[in-house]
Formats: sequence, structure tokens, C-alpha cells
Amino acid sequence: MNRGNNPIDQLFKEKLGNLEENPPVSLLSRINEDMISQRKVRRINQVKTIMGIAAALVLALMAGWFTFDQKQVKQNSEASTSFTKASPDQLAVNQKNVNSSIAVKSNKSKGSVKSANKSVSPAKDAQFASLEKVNEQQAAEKPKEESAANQAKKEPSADWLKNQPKNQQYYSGNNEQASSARKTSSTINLWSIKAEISQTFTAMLSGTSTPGTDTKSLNTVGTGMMASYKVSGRVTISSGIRFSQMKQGSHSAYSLNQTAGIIYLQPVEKSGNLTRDVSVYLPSVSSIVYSNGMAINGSNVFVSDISQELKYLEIPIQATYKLIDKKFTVGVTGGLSSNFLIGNTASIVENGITLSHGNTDNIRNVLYSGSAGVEFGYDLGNKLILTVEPRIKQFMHSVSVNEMVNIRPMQLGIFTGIAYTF
Amino acid sequence: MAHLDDIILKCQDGNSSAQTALYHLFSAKMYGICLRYARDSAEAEDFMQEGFVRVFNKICQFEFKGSFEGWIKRIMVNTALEKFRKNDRLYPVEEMKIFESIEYVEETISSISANDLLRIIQELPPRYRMVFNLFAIEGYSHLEIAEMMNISEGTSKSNLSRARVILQKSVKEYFGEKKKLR
Repeated sequence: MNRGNNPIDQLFKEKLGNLEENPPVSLLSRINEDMISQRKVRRINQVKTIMGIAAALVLALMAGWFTFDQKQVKQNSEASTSFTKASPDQLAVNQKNVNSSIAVKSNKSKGSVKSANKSVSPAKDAQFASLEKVNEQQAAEKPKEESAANQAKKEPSADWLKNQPKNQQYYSGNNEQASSARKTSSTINLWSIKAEISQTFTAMLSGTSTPGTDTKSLNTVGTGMMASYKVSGRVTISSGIRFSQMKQGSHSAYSLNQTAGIIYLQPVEKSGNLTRDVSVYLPSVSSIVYSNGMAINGSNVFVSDISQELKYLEIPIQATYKLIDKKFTVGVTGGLSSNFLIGNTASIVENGITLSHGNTDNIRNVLYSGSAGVEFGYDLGNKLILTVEPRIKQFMHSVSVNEMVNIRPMQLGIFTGIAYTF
Repeated sequence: MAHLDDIILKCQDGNSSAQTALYHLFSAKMYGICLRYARDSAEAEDFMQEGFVRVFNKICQFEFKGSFEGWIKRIMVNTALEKFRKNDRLYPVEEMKIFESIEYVEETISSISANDLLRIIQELPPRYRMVFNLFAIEGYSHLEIAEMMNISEGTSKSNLSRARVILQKSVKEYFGEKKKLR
């Protein structure tokens, strides 16, 4: 078993120990494809995780709000019940006190009348008798007034209810009133969900190409689904999920500079055959375009168009302040978003034929952006609101992790949507 | 070396062109290793593909301690081992007694090409090939091999002996002559 003495071992170690063999050319592209697909899976998993956390948070908040709401209703209901239970006794005591005090007063007045009666004339006696009748009537009416006052305490009027803060509207009075107040309040729709869509225009903040190279942003589509909660009369907080894209087309790929955003275009196998091994390096690295793995000099470059597309899933937190809140509403919106890269594709097209597919390298996976807009709404009835919102989104940092590529795009969209309130 | 360190650092930043450069630096050596552990070139390519994806994904963990080539090689061998473990049940190998008497080839040694030997080693049953590679070429002990392959030390020894016998026989058959070394 000694490894040093065995000639078979020695033979194989000597011949195969440092064996070098060139792998097939296509293997590199397979590895890159594998890496891209793994990155995509990781990104999707990240987005799923974040969405799961966001959903859990929203559910937890809703559950917390609902629990708090129920607890408050219960507490106030109990308080109201005990108040209602205590009232008859309290009323009885009050009434008794009132009656006795009235009786005392009455007796006192009777006594005074009677004692005075001894020395007073019959005419005066008749006058006293009529006064006594009035006193008795007043004594009989006073408990009724007291009882009505207690009743008023128990049952606040609708006007009073309207003037109270929302929570007190819910919980004051007995259960029936709380319930009716809740019914009244439920007509104020606190929640809404909105679906929106817009064509978006992207403007790059940095230069995108060298002179003579035509690089331009292409219009894309943005969509979203938002849930909103009215925190006060004029302020609404919204969150949800949006989908946005950025698309850029460049003519004469070979002359792109470092600000074009393309570092490397990954060649990909197409139908089993490598259509063209194209790697675009920037001038800061190399001003050469490689074709079929070979460097091409400046006079021999091919003219081709590069198309790049980035897709993002956006999780925004947005606040809206209503300036006009009637049938027609106007509000200003502002918010922050996390944008998760979910798609990154690039292709080279030569004479209308797509030669190579791939991706743009060094693209940041998560971007943060700020947005501002003006939301116009029109109440369509049946709890539906039509909204139109011109909105600008500004990315806070470059889409690329490459320090030389400083592209912080700004996007403009006129989002049209339908909101359902409940 | 400084050039390699620079490439590694760029790879750690996720730079694709650096990954390509790294691949071109090591692909031939690593493919050679994969070919030894695989039954054919298709399987070797699978090992290579999975191995390099792991290299690129785990390169951030490389702390410039020790040889990078050793690190990347270990990943390739581990990839092959993992594949073997997954398919191990498909290739049951009986426990065999250790063969002590082995006949050796002699003059033919110098005339045998690496590709011929590669073909011979690829014809070995997977477990024998694995044990032989790990012991004879990589230099692992039977204890280490037993741990890596989830087998007993005795099994590792017997597999190695059996592998040697088969290899010897194959070499002899391949060259059609039988000469004793001693």
C-alpha cells in the first residue's frame, strides 16, 4: 500500500498528475449562462423574500390595527354597559334624593303654610292651597327632568356624536349607538387599492456615448398595484409593487465609451451554435471590439447596434397629501422606493439580424429611488376613483457598480389608474 | 503573481472579464483534473462547468492564504466527489480482499501517452477511479479518502488494490505484451 513504491501509481501520477487539456470553447459560455441563471434565481429569491417580509409586515400591521380596534370597542362597550347597568340604581337614588328633598321642601312649605295658617285669613289660605298645588306639580316634574338628564347622558344625540373624534364616535354610548356610529363611520373609506399603468420615458443623467455614436433611451411601460391607507383627512400612505423598465439602444457599438453602461456583452449560444463571440470592452479598458474571439483593428470594425434592457421590481412607500378632496381630488405625492433588478438583457444586432444575446455586466442588483408627482382623481361612484398621476422617479445612485459608469436615470411617467376604496 | 492577485480581486468584485481571464488561466489544468475523475469528456465538462460556477461564487471566500491553484483544484475534486456521492448507489462495489501479488509493466511506460492512460483510467468503475485518483495522484491517505467518500478505510484499500489490478491488466492488454518489472 505504499504509494511511493507502486509503479502503477507512479506511472499514472507522472503522466496524468499535471495533465493539461483545453476544454471545448463552448464551455465558457455554458458557465456564463449558468452564472446568469443562478444570479436570476438568487434575485428572484431575494425579491420573494423581501415581498414575503413586506406582505408579513402589512398583514401584521393590519392584524395589529384590527386587534387594537376590537380591543378598544370591547373596552368602551364594557364601560358603556357598566354605565348603563349602574344608571337605574343611580337614577333611583337620585330620584329618591330628589323626591325626599322635594318632600322636605314641600313639607317645610306646608308646615310654614300650616303654621302660618293659624293666623292667616281664608282668602290667604286659598292662595296657599294653590301655591301648594304648584309645588306638588314641580316636585312631580323634577324627577322626570333628572331622569331625562340621565337618559341624555346615556344616549348622546346624533349631533353630539358627529362632533366627537372618530374613536369616541365608535365607543361612546351604548352598543347600539356604537354600532350605528360605526356604520356611519364605515362610509369614510380608509383603504383603497389601485392598479396603474403608464408609458415611461427615461432620461440618462450622464453622457451616454462618444461623439458620433447614437445612443438613446427607448420608451418602456411601467405598471403597478398599490394599497393605500388614509391616516388622516388629507394624508394617505401607500405601498405595493411596481414594475419598471429601462431600455437603451446604441448604434455603432464599437465606439461606445465608458459611460455607455456596457462593460461586457456576454456571448451566448444560439441553437447550439455560437453566433458570434462578441465582447465589448470600454475604452478605459480597451477600445477594441472582439469578434469571434479575435481583436479587430479600428479600420475593420463591424457596425452593429446594441440594445440593453433592465427590468426592475419596485417596492415603494409613498405619501399623498390631498390639496382638494371633493368629487375631484388633487394631491401631491412623494416617496421612496427599493428597486430590485429582475431582468438584464442585451443583444447585438447587425443589419437587422440579432447576432448575440447576453447581459450588461456590473449592474447593481438593488437601487434606491425617490419619486414625486401630482395625483388627480375623479370619483366615478361605486367606490371607484379614476386617477391620473404624472410622476418623476429619480434613481439615487448609478445603475452600474463600475465607478466609471455613472448613470443615474430619471424616469417620467403619466400613470393612469383605477382605485377601489373600501 | 501580482497579475493573478489582481484578477482574483476583480473576480471578487464580480467582474465578468476578470472571470473570463481566470477561466483562461486555469481551464486547461482543471479540465485535465476533471477528465481524470470523469468517465468521459461529457462528464468532465459537467464537472468543469459546475466547478467553475462554484469558484466564481465562492471566490470572495478566498483570503490569499495558500495557493490559489490548490484552492481551485480542491473545488474541482470536491465537485467530482459530490457527483460521485450522488450516483454512488448506482455503482455498488463489493468489498474485496487486498491483492498483494501484482504484476508490473516496464518498458511500455515511456511509450504510453497521457491520453492512453486517461482512456484506461476512465474505464475504471467510478469508485475505483475515485479512490485511485485520490490516493495515487492527489496523495490523500486512506483515512481521508474514507471520510471523503463515506466508506471504511478497508474498503478504500481494497478498492485501490482492485483499481491497480484493473489498470495493470488494461495497460497490458492495451499494449499486447507482458513483461515483469521485477
